[in-house]
Amino acid sequence: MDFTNTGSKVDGTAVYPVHAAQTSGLLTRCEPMLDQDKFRRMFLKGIPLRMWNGDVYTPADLTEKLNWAMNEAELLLKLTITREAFQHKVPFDYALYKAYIHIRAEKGPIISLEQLAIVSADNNNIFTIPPTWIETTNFAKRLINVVPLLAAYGVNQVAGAVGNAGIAFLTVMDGLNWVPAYWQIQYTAGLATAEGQVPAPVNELIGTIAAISILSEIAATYRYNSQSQSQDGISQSSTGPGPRQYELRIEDLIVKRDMLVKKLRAIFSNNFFIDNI
Amino acid sequence: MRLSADFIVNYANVNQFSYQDQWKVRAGDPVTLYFQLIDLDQPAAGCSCSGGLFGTGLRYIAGTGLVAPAAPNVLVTFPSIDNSKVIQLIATQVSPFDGSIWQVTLAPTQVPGSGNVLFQVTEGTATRTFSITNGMSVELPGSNGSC
Repeated sequence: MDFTNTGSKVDGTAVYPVHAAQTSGLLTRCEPMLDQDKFRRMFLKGIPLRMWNGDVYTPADLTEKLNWAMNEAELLLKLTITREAFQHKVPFDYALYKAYIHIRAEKGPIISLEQLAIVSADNNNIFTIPPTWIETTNFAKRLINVVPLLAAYGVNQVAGAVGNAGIAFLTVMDGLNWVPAYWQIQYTAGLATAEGQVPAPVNELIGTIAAISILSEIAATYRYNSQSQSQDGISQSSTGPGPRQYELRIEDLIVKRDMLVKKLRAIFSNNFFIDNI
Repeated sequence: MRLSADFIVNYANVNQFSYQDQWKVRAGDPVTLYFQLIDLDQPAAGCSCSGGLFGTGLRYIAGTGLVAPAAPNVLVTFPSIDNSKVIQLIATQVSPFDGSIWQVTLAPTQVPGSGNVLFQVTEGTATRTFSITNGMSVELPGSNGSC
């Protein structure tokens, strides 16, 4: 994405720790995305990655597992791990409009807001909110506010002819109660301002998700519940779950399937809707 | 034919190097990155493993069908959401004795993001592209207290 011609507005603080203006550097909180080598060291020590039939987890397998775990973590957290650009429209709600155009973006934490504009259904830009009016302090919580007080009443002036005239334009909206798609926002969101960096707890979450998957697979390959041997009688016996050997694994997969279906459905629909009355 | 690449570290000559599943660098360090082109559809001899990282595909020498002065072109891209931060490097062959091994050099001012690495191999009119999942890991020693 080309950011050179956008009216990019950033909060200027870190995404993690939230609102950190400066950190000492004494504690490492952010690190590169979890790779299979570190994953093996931090989660799989002592775990045999070779199964009884000769199947092994190769570095490629672990990398793919981690990639899936990262995607699963994004679904669970309802955000993107890496910084990505988004564009969508949000409704005009009179109550929220009176509360300084209180807009909640679909994705977060917001790293930069490129444009907040009133865009018609045929994609004509009717009015762009000047970046100087946009309040950034709640970007971490996906909230965008427009506070034009400085431009209207303070010493600061908004550059260009559209700036102060916009306040008058916005007051016209007083007659509307609800417009389903009104504000168009273009923004970037992700878990770190530095690309490819991830907060350490997020890496731990990714590793945990991948480890659960791998340990569940490995556990299913143990065929015996108990084994016994006796020497003088020269006898040996083994007991196993028989046809129920993979039952635990199937149960794990059912839980995972249901979770994935639920999360994927939630992306494309509303489970419930709460707003002002 | 599905091309891919194995990452190489500690390269001394074509008979002395080791494979690694990921390039690991520190921001600000000058670094030369080596890789070997492989063909995933031709598994390496004796390897029953499938797809992916080192040792899983026969080495691939680009441009064997080209007539001089035509030469293959290999481009390595470190993607970014910000166009101004995308790093594209033209790879050069490391040694005339093994045309499958290539290198790119990162200047201290070039700091890629950790994550996927994209490759583009052009041989005459044929261009093949592939991506290595999480192929680059970049430590930021000066600013890892926040991100």
